[in-house]
Amino acid sequence: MNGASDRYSNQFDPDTALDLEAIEREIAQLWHPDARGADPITSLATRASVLNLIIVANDDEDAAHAQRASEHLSQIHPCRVILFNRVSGSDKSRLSPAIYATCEADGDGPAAPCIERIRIPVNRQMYRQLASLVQPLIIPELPAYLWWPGRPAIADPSFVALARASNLTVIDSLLLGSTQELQSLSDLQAQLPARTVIADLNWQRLQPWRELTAQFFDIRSAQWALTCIREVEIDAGRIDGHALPIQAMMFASWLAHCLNWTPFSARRTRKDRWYIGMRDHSGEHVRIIIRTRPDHGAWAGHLLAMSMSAHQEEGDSSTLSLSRSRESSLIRMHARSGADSATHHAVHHPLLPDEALLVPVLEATTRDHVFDASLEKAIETLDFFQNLEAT
Amino acid sequence: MEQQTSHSTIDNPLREGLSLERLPSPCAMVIFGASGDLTRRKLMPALYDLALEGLLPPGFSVIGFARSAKTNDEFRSEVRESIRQFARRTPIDEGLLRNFEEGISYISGDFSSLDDYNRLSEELDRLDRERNTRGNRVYYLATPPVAYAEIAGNLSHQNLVHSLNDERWTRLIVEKPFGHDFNSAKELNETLLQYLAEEQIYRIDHYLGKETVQNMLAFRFANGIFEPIWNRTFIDHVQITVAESIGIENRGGYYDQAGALRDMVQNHMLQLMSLVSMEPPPAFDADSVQDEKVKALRSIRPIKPDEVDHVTVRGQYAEGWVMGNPYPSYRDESRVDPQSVTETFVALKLFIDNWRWAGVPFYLRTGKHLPRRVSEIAIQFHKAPHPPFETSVTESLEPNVLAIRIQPDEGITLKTNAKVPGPSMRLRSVNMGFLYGTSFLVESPDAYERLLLDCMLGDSTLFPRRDGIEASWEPITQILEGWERSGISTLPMYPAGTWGPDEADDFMARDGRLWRQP
Ligand SMILES: NC(=O)c1ccc[n+]([C@@H]2O[C@H](COP(=O)([O-])OP(=O)(O)OC[C@H]3O[C@@H](n4cnc5c(N)ncnc54)[C@H](OP(=O)(O)O)[C@@H]3O)[C@@H](O)[C@H]2O)c1
Repeated sequence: MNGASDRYSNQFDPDTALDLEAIEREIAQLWHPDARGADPITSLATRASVLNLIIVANDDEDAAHAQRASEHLSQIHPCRVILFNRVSGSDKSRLSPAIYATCEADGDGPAAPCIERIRIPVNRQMYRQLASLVQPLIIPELPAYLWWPGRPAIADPSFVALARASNLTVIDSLLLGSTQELQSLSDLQAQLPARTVIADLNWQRLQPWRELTAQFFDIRSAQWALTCIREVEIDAGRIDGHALPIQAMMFASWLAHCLNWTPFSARRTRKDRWYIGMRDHSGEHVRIIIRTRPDHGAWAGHLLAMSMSAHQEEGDSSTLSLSRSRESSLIRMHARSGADSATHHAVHHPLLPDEALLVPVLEATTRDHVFDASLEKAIETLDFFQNLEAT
Repeated sequence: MEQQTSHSTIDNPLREGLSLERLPSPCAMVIFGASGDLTRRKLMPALYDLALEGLLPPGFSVIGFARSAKTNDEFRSEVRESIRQFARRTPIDEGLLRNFEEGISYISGDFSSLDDYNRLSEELDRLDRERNTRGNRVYYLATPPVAYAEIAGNLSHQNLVHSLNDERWTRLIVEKPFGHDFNSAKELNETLLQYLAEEQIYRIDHYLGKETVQNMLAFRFANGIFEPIWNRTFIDHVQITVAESIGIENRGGYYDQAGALRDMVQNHMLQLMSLVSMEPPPAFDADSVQDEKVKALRSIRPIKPDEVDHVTVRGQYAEGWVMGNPYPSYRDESRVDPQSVTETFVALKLFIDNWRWAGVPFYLRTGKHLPRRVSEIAIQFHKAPHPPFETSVTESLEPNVLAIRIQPDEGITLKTNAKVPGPSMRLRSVNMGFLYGTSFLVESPDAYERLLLDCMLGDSTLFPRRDGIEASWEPITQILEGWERSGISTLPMYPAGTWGPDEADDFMARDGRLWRQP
C-alpha cells in the first residue's frame, strides 16, 4: 500500500496529565470508527501490533529524533510507542501527554491503523519512577523494547530499572566515550535476567564488516589462514574526546573471541594509535593495531578500513582488506589467498540512520552470545591498557 | 553440498551468529536468452537487488548468451538501463552498479552450435581463474521452450555439467512453460534427466516466490487454530481466482497455442491449490514439502472425457473496456488465428479425493482482460448450523470466508457476522482485514530475487519437483483431451472488462453458489 498517512491526535488537558486510565480511554477513543472517519459497520479496525517500544529521550532534540525514527519503525514493526521526553522544571503546560494514532491509507480503501504513540514529558521526579509508569501503559502480552537514544546513562538506576522491566534494551555504544562506560555495560549485562537482551546499534553497524570478513574464510582454500593470522590493522574515524574507538575495539574483540585469541598486552602508542598483543591458540603472537583518522565527519567512530594478513611456514600467505571511501556507500573487499587469484567484491553499506539499524535489532528475541562474548573479550583486553584517558 | 560444509561454523568460526543460511558460495550464472524480455525486466533487476542486499557471493559473475551480436560493453549498457528502469530498490547505487557490471560478459552464439559452447566454457574457466567462481554454475534457460532440451544436452556434451558428487555444483533453472501436456512434460523431464540429476534441476514458478504464498504455509502450519477446521467438516468450498486485467499483450503467437488453462492453471493455480490442500509436512525442507504437495495433486479426482463440459467453462474476450481503455476482441489481436477457439478465460471445478477434502469443490477461475488484477484464495466455511435469531435476521447471514489475497494488496481477511449497533438484532457481514502492506510496510522482495537466491543456495523447496509437474499435468491433459473431442468452433464470449462469460455464473449457480467479486 502506498499513500499518505492520516493522523488523529488528541491533546490532553494538563490537569489529567499522567492519569494513566485517561490515556487508555483516549487510545480506545482514537480507534473508534468515527474518529477514523470510517464506516462503523463494514470496517472493523484490526490493529496489528508486534511489540511495545519504550523510548527515553534525554532532551527535546533526542525526542524529535526518536519520534521520526519511531514513525519509520512502526511501519515495519507495528507497535505502541511510549515516548518519555525528559523536560526540566515543573511547568504544567509542558507536562501534558499527547497521543497519536497513525494510519496508512491508500486513498480509496479503508484506512488500516498501524501505530499508536503516547508521548509523555517527564520531569526529574517522574523520571525516577519511569519503570512504574511503563507497566500500565504497554499492550499486554507483547514484548516491551526499550530504546535510549543518545548517550545512555548506563549506570543510572532509572535506566537499570527500565532495562530490567524490558525484554530488550537498545543502546548505542558508539557514543560511549570512556572505557568505564563499556565496563558498566558489561556489568549491566551480567546483572540482567537471562531473558533480557541488550542490543547495541554499534554492533549492528559492524555486521557487514563481520559478514565480509567471514565470507572470505568461507572459501575452503582460504581457511588455513584462520589459524595463521599474524597482523590486523583497523582504522576508524576519530571522535574527539573519546578514549578509544569502541567500534574498532569491538571488531578486534569479535575476531579474538571467534578465533580464540587471548590478550596479553595493550598500550596506547600514540594519540591516535593503539596496540594490542594477543596470542592465538598455539601461542603465536597476533599484533592488532587500531588507528583513528581525524575529520571523518559523519563517519566519526565508524570503521573505515581493516586489513589482516596470515602467513604459513611453508611460505603461503593470505591477505584480506576491507575499506570504505569517505563519500561512498560501498565497502570494498580485496583478498588473496595462497596461489588463488585475487577476489574483489563490494557491498552496499551506506551510513544508516538509527531507525534503519533498529529494524533488524528489534527482531532479536534472545541474547546474541557472540556480542556478549566479544564485549567480555573487550573488557578483558581493556584491563591491559594503561593511560587510556581521553584526549 | 559444498556450500553447507564450507559455511559451517566448524570450518569457519567467524560465521558464528551470522546469517549463514542465506549466503551462496561463489558462482557464475549463465543466462541463455539474455537479450530477451525476461532477462531485461526480471532477472537482471533481481540480481542487482540481491547485490544491493549483500546477498550475492564474492566474485559473482553473469554471462549472457543469446543470438544477437553484441559486445560486452553493449550488453552491460543494456543491463544498466534495465536495472535503472526495473530495479525494486531506488535510487540506484552507482558504485555498486559499476561493481556489479564488472562481473558481466556476453557471448553471442546459437543454442545449437557446439563451438559456441566451447567459447562459453573458456569464458567460465576465465571467471574461475580471475574471479574465483570456483567451478560453480547456474544455467538459466530464459529461452523459447523448444530450446530447453537442446541446451541441456549441449552443456552436458561439452562437459559443462558437473556430477552431483563433484565438489563444484551445477544447477539448471527452467522457465515456464514446462511441456504442453502430460506426455511432453514427461518427455522433457526424461530428456533433462539424461543430462542432469533431479537435484540439479530447478523448474521455476514465480508464484511460489511470492511472499504471501509463502506466508500461507506460515499461516496454516504456524497457527494451531486453523488446522482443526481446515477440512470438509467446516469448509463448504474453496475458490481460487487469478484475474488479469491485461490482455495477451504482444504474445499472441505463444498464447494462441497455449490458452489460459496451460498458461495459468497447470502451473500457478494448481500450485496454489496444492499449498491450500496439502497435509502438514513433517519438516520445512524441500522433499517433505514437495512430497505433501505431490500427494495433494495426485489426489485430484480424474476427469472423464464426458465430464469435462460439466466441470469446466471456457470463454474468450470480446471487444470491451478495461479500466477506462478500449480493447479489441481476442480474435482481432495480432498473431492470433481469427477463428481461434483458444480460451482466454477458464473456470473449473476440481475435487481432491482424500479424507480431508472429500466432497469439497475447489473452484478455479482465471482470465485475461477481467476487471482488475487480483489473485486470491477464498476458503468459504459452512453457514452457522442453527442461528438462534428470527428468520428475517438469519436470512441475511453470510457464511464466514477466509480470503488470502496474493496480489495486489497482500493480506488475509476474515468475513464474520456482527450485530449492527442499535436496539434491534440486526446482523451484518464485517471484513476483518490483516493487510500485509499496512501491518508490515516492508517491501517484499520480488519473487525472482527469492527464487534466484534459493537456487544459488541449493534450496529447492519453492521449486516444483518432477513428479509435481507431471501430477499437475494429468488433470489438465484430461481437460484438454475432453475439449479436443467436443470440437466446438466458437467459445462463449465476454466483453473485456467483465468477470467472464455468463456461463461461468450459471456454472456456479448450478451448485447453488456464487463467484466472489474479489
Ligand atoms: N517475459 C516474461 O515476463 C516471462 C514470464 C514468464 C516466463 N517466461 C518464459 O521465459 C522464457 C523467455 O522469455 P522471454 O520473454 O525473455 O523471451 P524472448 O524475449 O523471446 O527472448 C528469447 C531469447 O532467446 C534467444 N534465442 C532464441 N533462439 C535462440 C537460438 N537459437 N540461439 C541463441 N539464442 C536464441 C533470443 O535471442 P535473440 O533475441 O538475440 O535472437 C532471446 O534472447 C520463455 O520460455 C517464456 O515462456 C517469460
